[in-house]
Amino acid sequence: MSNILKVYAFVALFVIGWWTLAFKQKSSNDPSPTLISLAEVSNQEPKPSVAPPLINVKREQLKLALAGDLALMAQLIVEWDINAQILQQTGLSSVKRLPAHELLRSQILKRHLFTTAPDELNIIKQNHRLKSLTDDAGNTITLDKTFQRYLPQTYISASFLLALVPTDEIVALPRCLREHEQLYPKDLTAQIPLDIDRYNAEKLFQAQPEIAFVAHYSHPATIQALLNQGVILYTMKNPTSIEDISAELLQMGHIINRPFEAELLKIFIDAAMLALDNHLLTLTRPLITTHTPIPQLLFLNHHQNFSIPTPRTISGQLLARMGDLDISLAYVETHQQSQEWMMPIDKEQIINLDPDYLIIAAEATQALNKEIRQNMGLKQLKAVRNNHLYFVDESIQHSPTQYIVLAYFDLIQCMAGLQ
Amino acid sequence: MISLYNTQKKRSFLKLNIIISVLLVVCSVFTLLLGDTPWQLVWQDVLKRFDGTALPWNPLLDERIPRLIVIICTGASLAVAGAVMQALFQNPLASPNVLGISCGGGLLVVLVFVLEWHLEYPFAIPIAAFTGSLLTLLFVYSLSRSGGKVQLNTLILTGIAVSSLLFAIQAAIMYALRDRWMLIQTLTEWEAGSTVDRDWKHVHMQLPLTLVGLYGCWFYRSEIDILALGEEEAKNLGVEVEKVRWRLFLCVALLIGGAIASVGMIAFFGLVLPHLVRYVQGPANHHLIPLCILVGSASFTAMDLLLRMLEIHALSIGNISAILGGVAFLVLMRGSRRFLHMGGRR
Repeated sequence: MSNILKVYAFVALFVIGWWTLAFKQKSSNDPSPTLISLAEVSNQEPKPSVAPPLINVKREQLKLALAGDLALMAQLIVEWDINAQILQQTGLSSVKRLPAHELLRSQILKRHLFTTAPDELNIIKQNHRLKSLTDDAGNTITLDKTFQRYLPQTYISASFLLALVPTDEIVALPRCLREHEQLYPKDLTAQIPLDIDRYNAEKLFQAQPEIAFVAHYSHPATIQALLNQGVILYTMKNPTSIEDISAELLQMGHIINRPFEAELLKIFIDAAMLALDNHLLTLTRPLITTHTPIPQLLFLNHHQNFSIPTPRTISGQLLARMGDLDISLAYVETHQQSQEWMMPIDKEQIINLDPDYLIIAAEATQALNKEIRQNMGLKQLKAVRNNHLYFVDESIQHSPTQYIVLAYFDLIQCMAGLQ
Repeated sequence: MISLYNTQKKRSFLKLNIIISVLLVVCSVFTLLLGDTPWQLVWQDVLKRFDGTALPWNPLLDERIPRLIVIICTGASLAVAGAVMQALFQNPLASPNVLGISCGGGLLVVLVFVLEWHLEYPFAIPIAAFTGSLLTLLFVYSLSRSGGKVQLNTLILTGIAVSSLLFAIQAAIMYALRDRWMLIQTLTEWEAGSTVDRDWKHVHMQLPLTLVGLYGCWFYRSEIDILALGEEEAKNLGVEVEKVRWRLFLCVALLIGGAIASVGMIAFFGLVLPHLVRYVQGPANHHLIPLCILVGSASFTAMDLLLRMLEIHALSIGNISAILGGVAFLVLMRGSRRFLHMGGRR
């Protein structure tokens, strides 16, 4: 072998040898892929309840109701209120209940929707419906006619519409929404073949939408194209809180002439969040009464690096609802980063926090789980050692739609082993 | 007279080396000291390593030291790669970014991210970065060659054109995948260049490439000096031009590949730093290469330290270096124009 080849071979062997030693060693030490996923937790048999009885909130039921099952919504609202009353009677303080007028309103709405004759219901709706409303861009929309062809350009509007109107009234869906099959079943979205795309302008025109739901971040060219086609535009607010989501839902209810359905869904969201709060209360109460230290939960997002959501985000607000359990927001607060959307956090900081529960919203969960369990520092975390490392669906956690209830459910479900 | 001049030069080189070394040591020490864990606890645990009672993870040994190694390697790699390119192509504008080398490496790394190979094979990133950098460099080089010679006046233009093309392909990939916003966020964070959470995995990805690359550049530092005079002159002086150039290309690709793999895209650093060093020390590559290693490491470490001390989370080290580098480059350009107006008198 010539000297030149020897040099190249030596260099190649040096690099390949280094990588082989560095990376091969780790893969041989791979732990068994015991991904403690949310699905696994959800499938676990519920732990035997202690008095007071646990409020049974089932994920599939929640999903069905949020997808527009109005009867189920009304039924669950009542069931949860009864459960809350039972909890109160057992002496549990801080139990949350829907205000009486809202509970009553939900049942009135149910009666309107299920027992009133269609013609009569239509008249009641028309009387109840607003005559005009102002969108987030300051434009006034006159509601003197009933729209029947909707173009949801944003995920939030599509999500509301899929729950509230028949699919034949939705002319198209935002690109890639149909990929979220965990929220929007394929058989449902398949009924709406058209995607909203800038290259589909002619097809969209042929579909004759009457009103389009857009946002401030919508592409200006798309907005202009819709305006040119004579489509009425309604600019939605970019929701940053559950209150924003509810407000947009009510507004949309008036536009699509489903004010009662939207109002019932809004009340359901409130009731579900309260029921989940109560569920959390039943989990933490035994700890408080026995003076057991409350476990600490750290919530992280992961893309290339780890980050913590701040109180400005919806995820942050869900964590705030979890009260003393959560240490993520307190950490953001101590670093005076509350005004940011996300606060980067490095591994050393995570290890110093050493949470009892670690919940990570990520996409490539299998790989991340493997990485965490191989990392010398992270695998020593209490949460990892005690199998309290959970991965939650990032698209649900960050979804500013009615499915935010599911996001909260997922967080609380991770704490199911608290007792 | 000449001997006095040489002695003064040597003294000034030595002085500069000492100053930069002190700066590097100070910044490194602060980098190692700075962290959320109290130093006392960190140190106690380090000592426990000797009797085997320590925790399996230590902030100093498993987080701060590997991060420091990555930072030092990246700073040195970018600065040396820039200096070598400028000397090889006899063009002060030649740099990994301007010639599209970083874009080439970046494009293949983006593909690795898209195909999710990095999750199973971490070394896919440095391999992709190195391969992309080398292929781009060879492509630009071959396009700029005409009649057996590199056309220096077209080199930069070719580099910019190739860089634009590669950037356009990358943008097209990202546009096509725009709805996979989680992937886009991952790519955005990587493209911005970051030193957060760099551990031994990143060291292993980068260090072998950097060691070989730096050694190669240092080994050929005298030849680089001669090559900077021009191809003909170098041949006349006995330099095996083709062989040396090819090896230096490999070294540059290794350096850039390593830096891209572990930290991401860092713009302007490789362009500006060699100018600054040359401005202070003079153009002799014999001194320039070792000094670039020192200055690159020290300045990148200082920048990272500053970012950490000020807790600037909104910007990454890549953003900061691009902004500072851009400003410094403008200042340098303005300075050299004034220098030309003054007829070359300083």
